Amino acid sequence: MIATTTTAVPNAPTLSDLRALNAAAMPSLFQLPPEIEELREEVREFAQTVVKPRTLANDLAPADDFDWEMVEAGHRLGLLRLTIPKELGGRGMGVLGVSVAMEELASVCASTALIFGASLLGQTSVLFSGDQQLQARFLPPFLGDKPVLACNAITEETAGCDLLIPEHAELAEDVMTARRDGDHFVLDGVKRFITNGKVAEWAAVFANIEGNPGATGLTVFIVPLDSEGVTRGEVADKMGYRACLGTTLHFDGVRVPEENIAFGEGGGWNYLTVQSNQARSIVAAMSTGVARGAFEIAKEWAGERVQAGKPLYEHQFTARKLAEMSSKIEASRLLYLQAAYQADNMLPAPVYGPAVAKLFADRAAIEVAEEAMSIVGARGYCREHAVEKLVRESFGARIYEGTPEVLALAITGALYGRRV
Amino acid sequence: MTVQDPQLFIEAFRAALADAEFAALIKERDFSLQFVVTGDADTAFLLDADGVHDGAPHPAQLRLEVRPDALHLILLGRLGVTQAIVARRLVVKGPVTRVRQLADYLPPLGRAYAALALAPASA
Repeated sequence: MIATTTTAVPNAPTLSDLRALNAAAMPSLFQLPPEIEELREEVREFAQTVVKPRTLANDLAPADDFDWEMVEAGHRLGLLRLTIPKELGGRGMGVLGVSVAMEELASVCASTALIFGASLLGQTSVLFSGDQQLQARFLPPFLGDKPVLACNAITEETAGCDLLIPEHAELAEDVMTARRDGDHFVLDGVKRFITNGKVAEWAAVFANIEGNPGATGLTVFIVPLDSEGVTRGEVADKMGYRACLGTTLHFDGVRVPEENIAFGEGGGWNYLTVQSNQARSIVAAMSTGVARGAFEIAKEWAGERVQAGKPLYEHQFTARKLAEMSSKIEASRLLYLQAAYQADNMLPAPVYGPAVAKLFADRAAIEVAEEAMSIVGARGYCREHAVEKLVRESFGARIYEGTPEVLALAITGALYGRRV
Repeated sequence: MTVQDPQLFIEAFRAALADAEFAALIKERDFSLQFVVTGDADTAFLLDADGVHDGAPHPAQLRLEVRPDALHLILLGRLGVTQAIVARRLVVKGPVTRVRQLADYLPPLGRAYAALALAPASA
């Protein structure tokens, strides 16, 4: 039996009150551009009114269920064309805008954020290639009425970090091959844990051109997933991030025309490092969102829950937890804003800032979510409570777009001048 | 002068600004572009509607850090800006949204550069 003594604390300011107060009265290094503030408000509204009511059901659903209705609502908001330039019909956002949007989404549901984020990541290869022919063929679907998703296919059974760390290129084993056959390439191999793989229209597929050792001939191919020889396999039954589908994709003799190559033959590594450095700011924002979501629950609970005659937040031990949680979130946010700003003002995006932001924010999300569960207590340990889901999701971002081990190498590489 | 000599770029860009249409485009957009040609000794110069200036007399809207061999290839259209960026042969600092505008500026600069760099006397 769980004791249920809760009393609302009169006149306790809510987090949104405080934020409004801060926004009105506090000087800030980061005055976001008005269009990004507008985007934040739109996405917050979407997250609270559309995503939040469906989050629990999507989390508890079978691993391969997919909520197209929610994606469609996000598409109407423009979330699937966030980074497409305005002149092409998109919203023209950079890394900063996407990061701010992702914090809002992840504060309610990180896996929903990743559905949109993974699609944007796939699009980046086409957008950034500057190849107008690829852009004309593969971007218009995101501008139509129906939601269409893309994905980014890198990870393989035997090559995870080996396809993220350039120095590992020669050592990578059993990487998907691309064999030239006339004016086509033939892809053979298996990609694993590909977010949106089950539902995406096309994928940016990283494969090694035959004859190059390891993954030294890594090349980006844009592959429609209805191509002959592509099979969408099992969906991983994940601990968290259950609303987005981490899928196995089989490529058996898939013929891809050479004009579907982005960044040229063997250009995969150069692009991959650029892409990773941009994406890490965004993932840091998602981790910040997860931490914020967990913190908001804990804060509300600690304001209402009375033990020993006073609310939890007046107990010194809980107060310290809340203070540290809040500090970690603020620090995470500052780091991702700075990293995203750098990515929007430097090409190629730097290694150091995004890696530091992601390393810190990923860790902070785990620590804050864990403390939130501790504060909420038994309820927070139950499946139907949002904080339990956030604890599980807090571990996700530590894996994709660079584990702490990969990030540590990136950071020290920058510190010792091996990378910029 | 060889293609490794940053003075060649400066002369070419001054020549490009003699094209009234190009100069008008720069002026209309109030655009400025700083080049830092890296090498044994970095050479910095800034191009705006008023000319090509040594160093960095004022902050530029875009700053391009590039080795002379890469800039040579970019201006001759043999190395795409995107390819140069992902290969880390070119670093662009400034609002990324403005990088697309390089497509408007590089061809006139490239034509002026080709006229100098590929002329027999400069070989």
